[in-house]
Amino acid sequence: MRIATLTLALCSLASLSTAACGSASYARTSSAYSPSRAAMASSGASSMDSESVAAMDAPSSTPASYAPRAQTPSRPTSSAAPARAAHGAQSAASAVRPSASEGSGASVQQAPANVLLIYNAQLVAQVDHVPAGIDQVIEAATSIGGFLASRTDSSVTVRVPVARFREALGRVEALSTVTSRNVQAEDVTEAFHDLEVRLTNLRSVQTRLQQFLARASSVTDALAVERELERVGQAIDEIEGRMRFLTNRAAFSTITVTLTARPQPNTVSAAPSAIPYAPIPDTALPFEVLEQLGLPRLLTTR
Amino acid sequence: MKRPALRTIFALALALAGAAPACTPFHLRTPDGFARIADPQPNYDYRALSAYGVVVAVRAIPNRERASMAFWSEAVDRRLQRGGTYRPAGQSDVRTERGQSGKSFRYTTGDPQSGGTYWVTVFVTNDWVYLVEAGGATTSFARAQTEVERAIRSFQGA
Repeated sequence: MRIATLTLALCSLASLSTAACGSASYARTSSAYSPSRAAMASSGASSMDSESVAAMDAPSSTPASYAPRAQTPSRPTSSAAPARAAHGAQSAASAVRPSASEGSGASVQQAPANVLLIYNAQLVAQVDHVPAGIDQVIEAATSIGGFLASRTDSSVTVRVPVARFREALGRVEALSTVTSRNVQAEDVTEAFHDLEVRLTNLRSVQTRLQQFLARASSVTDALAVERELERVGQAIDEIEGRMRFLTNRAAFSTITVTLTARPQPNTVSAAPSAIPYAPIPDTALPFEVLEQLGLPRLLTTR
Repeated sequence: MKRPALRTIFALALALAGAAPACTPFHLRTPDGFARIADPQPNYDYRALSAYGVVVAVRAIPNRERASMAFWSEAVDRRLQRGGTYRPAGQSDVRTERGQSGKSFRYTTGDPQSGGTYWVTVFVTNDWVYLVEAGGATTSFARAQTEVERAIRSFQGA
């Protein structure tokens, strides 16, 4: 009888955890978004003004406006993971969002609070000396808290704190002649929120399973609950890993710079000539024997 | 009295004919293991080959221009390097057993496994330019190299 009751309870918990893992919309419908930052730039703006540039370079310690959302606020969310992830999201969200027309007008729009963006920039630039230029890009990134991600003979990828993304772009532009610029922002807010809700629900399931485990009166019951706890724990680990990944990607923007050598001005100005260049032919020495040298003739003995 | 004298002259002529290739004003000792070809074909004054395909040959060209060793050496080297078929593999001054000076150029062609080795050694006198050529497949030439070098050192031009 007791086993039957426990099995029934596990089944209901399993269905709950499955729903938490598989159906984000279920959780989202009951979540409460409460953006505290009211100052949002107009969504149609595509040009950067000085105010938004200043906002972009603001330190990441901008007052928190991102509150973790839970499906069931009454249930305790004892783990610090959601809070940590939310903090990362908030840090990332404190940046501003470059618009698609950044290249033409250097326009950037302030991102609203609670928005988690991953910035990627690809620049093509000319420098006098490519290897030295690559070193300078790396130095510019590390000087503002960034780091080298990868480099080749002609390109370099660095990652910089999102709060200093704009500054990093400016530094690269200062040390080279940028001929092509592509800045993209990937909005992962929804994905992050889904993960957050699933994590909250799974933690609730985990807590209830632990309570079942404490009350288990037989080894069989304990083993069944343990198996379920293990499965839920793995799902929690996966979600936390994914959230850490997104947070990290949002916290550090990626800048890839492809460098080419700047064309050198001609130091010798040749007088324009209509006569095309004709290579000077070798003077053929009038000695037939020279034309007869070589292995093929030497080795022809018949 | 008369007969011994004639016999001596005949024997001397025969010996001279054996020592130097027919009617050419130079001497080269045929490398061991090589066979001298009786008819060296036009443009060659001496030819010998090994059973494994390495050939040693001599050309004697009248030096009508009285050009120097430097001139002929550079002319030969530039001609061979023109077009990029022959890659230089070294050059050295040569001094023969009889004190004659020459300049040796070594080249390779093709890849090391299936390519060839080609040597040209230039000797210049007032009247003649001698080109001592040696070559063959690189793998075969390595076997004959010592004998070829010995033959070159035995060279004596007029």
